[in-house]
Amino acid sequence: MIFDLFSIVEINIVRRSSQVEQIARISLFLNKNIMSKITFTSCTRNTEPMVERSLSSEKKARLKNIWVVTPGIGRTKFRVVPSECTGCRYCESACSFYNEGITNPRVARIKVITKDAAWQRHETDTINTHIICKQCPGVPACMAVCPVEGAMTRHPETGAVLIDHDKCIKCRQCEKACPYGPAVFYSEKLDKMLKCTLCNGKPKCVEYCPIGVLTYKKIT
Amino acid sequence: MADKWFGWAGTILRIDLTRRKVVKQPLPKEMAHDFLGGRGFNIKILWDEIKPGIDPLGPENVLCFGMGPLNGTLVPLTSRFNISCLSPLNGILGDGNAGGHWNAETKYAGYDQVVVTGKSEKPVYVWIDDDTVEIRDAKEIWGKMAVETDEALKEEVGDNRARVACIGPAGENLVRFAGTMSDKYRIGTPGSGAVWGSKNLKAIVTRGTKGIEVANSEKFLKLVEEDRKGLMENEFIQGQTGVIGTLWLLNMIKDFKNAQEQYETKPWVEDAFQKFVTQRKGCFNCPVHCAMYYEIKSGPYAGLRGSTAEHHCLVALGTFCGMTKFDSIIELYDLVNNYGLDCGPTGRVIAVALEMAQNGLITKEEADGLTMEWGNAETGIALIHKIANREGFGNQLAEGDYNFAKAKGALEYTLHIKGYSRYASRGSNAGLLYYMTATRGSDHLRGAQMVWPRGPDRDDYAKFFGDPSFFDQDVWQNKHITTVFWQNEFTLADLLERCKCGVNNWFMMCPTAAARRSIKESIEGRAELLSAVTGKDWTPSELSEVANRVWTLERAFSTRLGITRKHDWPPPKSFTPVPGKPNLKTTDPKILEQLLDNYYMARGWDTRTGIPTRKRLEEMGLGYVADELETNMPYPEWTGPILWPLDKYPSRKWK
Repeated sequence: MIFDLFSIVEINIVRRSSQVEQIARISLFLNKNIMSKITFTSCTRNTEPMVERSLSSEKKARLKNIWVVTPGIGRTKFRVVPSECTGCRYCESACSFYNEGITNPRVARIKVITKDAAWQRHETDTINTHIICKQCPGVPACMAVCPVEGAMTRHPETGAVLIDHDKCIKCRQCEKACPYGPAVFYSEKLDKMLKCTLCNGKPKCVEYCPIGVLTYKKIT
Repeated sequence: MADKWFGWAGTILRIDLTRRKVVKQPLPKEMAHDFLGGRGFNIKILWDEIKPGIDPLGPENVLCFGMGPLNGTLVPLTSRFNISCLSPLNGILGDGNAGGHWNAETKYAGYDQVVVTGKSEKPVYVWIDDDTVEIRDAKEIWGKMAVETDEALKEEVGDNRARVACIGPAGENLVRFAGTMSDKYRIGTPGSGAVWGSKNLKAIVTRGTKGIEVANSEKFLKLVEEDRKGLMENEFIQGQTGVIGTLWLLNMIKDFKNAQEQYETKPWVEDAFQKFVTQRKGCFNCPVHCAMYYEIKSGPYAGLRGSTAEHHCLVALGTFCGMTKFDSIIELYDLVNNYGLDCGPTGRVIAVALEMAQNGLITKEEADGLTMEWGNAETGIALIHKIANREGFGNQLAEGDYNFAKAKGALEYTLHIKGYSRYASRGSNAGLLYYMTATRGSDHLRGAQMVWPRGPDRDDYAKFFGDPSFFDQDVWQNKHITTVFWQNEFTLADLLERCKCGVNNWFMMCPTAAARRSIKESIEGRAELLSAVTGKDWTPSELSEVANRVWTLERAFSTRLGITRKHDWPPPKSFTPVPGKPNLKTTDPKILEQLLDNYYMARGWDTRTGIPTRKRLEEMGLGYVADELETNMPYPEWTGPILWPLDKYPSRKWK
């Protein structure tokens, strides 16, 4: 019957590995309750999502976007896998609500850009792309151009680049200097510069991401 | 909180296209509390502003876009919005609901409802940029396919994060079942696209930057967390809906060749998943993501890419038309999306024409020389082009299955109830009652018995209703009570604008239900959540009274257009057995009559006519409705919408 599909899920839908177990459990559950027969084979995490198969290895590596956060080499990693993203922007809502107390994706520090029309025309293979601060190692461009001493600092534990809003003069130099996005930007509504702070080591976007596109963990 | 709104944005945006005037009207507090949002706001406006006897495609029709109090908040699955108008397809309430991102964006711009009236002389689109609302010239984009329109407008306003609701060429050509497209999701409002077209309105583009605040953040976050975890941990939702989406339902609904036969869909769905699906797609704030992106990699339609292949569309365009090859169905589906047609009625009208041809009612010459046979993809493609452009035979079909069959004098070929068609729904008397009494015509999205694993189990029914037999489908004697209950639950989902997810899963519809699972605790959880969002205290009984009020007002709206008890009767096909399936039960007219009696009594309507009684209306604070109904009774009987002569439709052929 229709639940034979679980054998197919493996090919097409990439799921968080913790959910793999869950799906295995579900199939058993369905077996008992609804189904007469299930041909459940295996549900291992697909290492190569379908949309990426035709790409060169270099581009694949770029798509995977593994970002290592400093200081200290390789403490934590914040990983985004755009090819799995469903474009629901729950990360944006969660970010804005937890940081600013209002649901408003325009003040979210993570942004999902959906380009499905270009994808439909075969101009790109990635439907959703993400703009988020990569907490660049060393001295990031934003920090380097900041004219106020001490306005931008690094969080000693998470390594996130933070803005001291009392010292910030909102000159927007960092926004111009940022090579990614910009991942630091000025919000007219809140009248301040916004950038990802990694929520003190517990990023809400990661918590809310329903499909495991965003992950954040300590590297052991 | 005199002027501060929580949950609701607090403003109704009125756009008068005739006078090119935009008015921002504060949302009346009574309206927010009595009708809650979305579908409720829309029916209130329609009742006040649409008088009987108007032409749905005339300038008097009103197009309402309703958002609910939960839209744009952190509550998961709240990414729907309702479009309502007088339907050009069946001449009664035309109301439908779609997902995407437009709803949240419009709420962020500060509007709970957008009401479009009048008719523009030239094609226009509306650009809502927070408080700035402009009516702009749409000469450049008129005639463009829906997907192109979406992209062109984002480019024109210079923001790729703006959101577009628009119509395709089908709506411009006044096809009576053209839909509204938003983020490539369709809205199955019977014919809303044609109403846009009749008003010369091509699109509404929105950018919102204001955000939505909630009254009690702490309590709100606690409930959202509970709800979200419940959804993430629900085996059925994550294992079924989150994986194969609404195609889950193919297991249940198998109507084949215009419901003459039944089809085994299993190999068909497997085919789809092995070959076509590439990635999941989610609406705003959705942890379930039932839609999908697909790509055809080989065969005659290789290279085709699109999104949101959903159950209802695949059944209507596929098995209903005898089509079993998935890639050709996807090709039809893509055309329907691009032209901006509503896939359900498109498939239905093609199926009706094919069945008529099978029985010799339509000759080959009449069908412009097309081979009218079941499962012929080329015919399907040609017919969709003809329908969307109102060419030749397509001009007749573009009137919709009910109007087309009526013109042919062969209404028995359709599956219509009150002019709108869905499934044949054989076998269950109680199940058919939902279809018969749905306020917009035969419909599975206005109520259905929710059973495990999509709803509570037998024990919970026993606890809540007092007896386990309320759960059993074969016992029809008490099903009017569950019908009213579930219809109200579905209505509440439409008022809060929470997703029913096509597969009608109550654990998704009702906030916190997935976590709590019991009916009583879940409806309490929903009331708590709504209190935390809006700052007004709600109880479950108040909420169900709101749902009753909306449902009854919708019925009164239909009453005013001539709907009575006799129109709540299922199509002949519901009573005919399927050849080769002797075990499949058919429905019993006597039981249905009794069920209707019981249902009207449970709703507080007159059992002889099916018209809401003054007593019940006054209890709900709808005395003005009772006054108007009594003053103007009797209304002329409903016979479908006002139709135009076929040569009167504009011949704006798409290039």
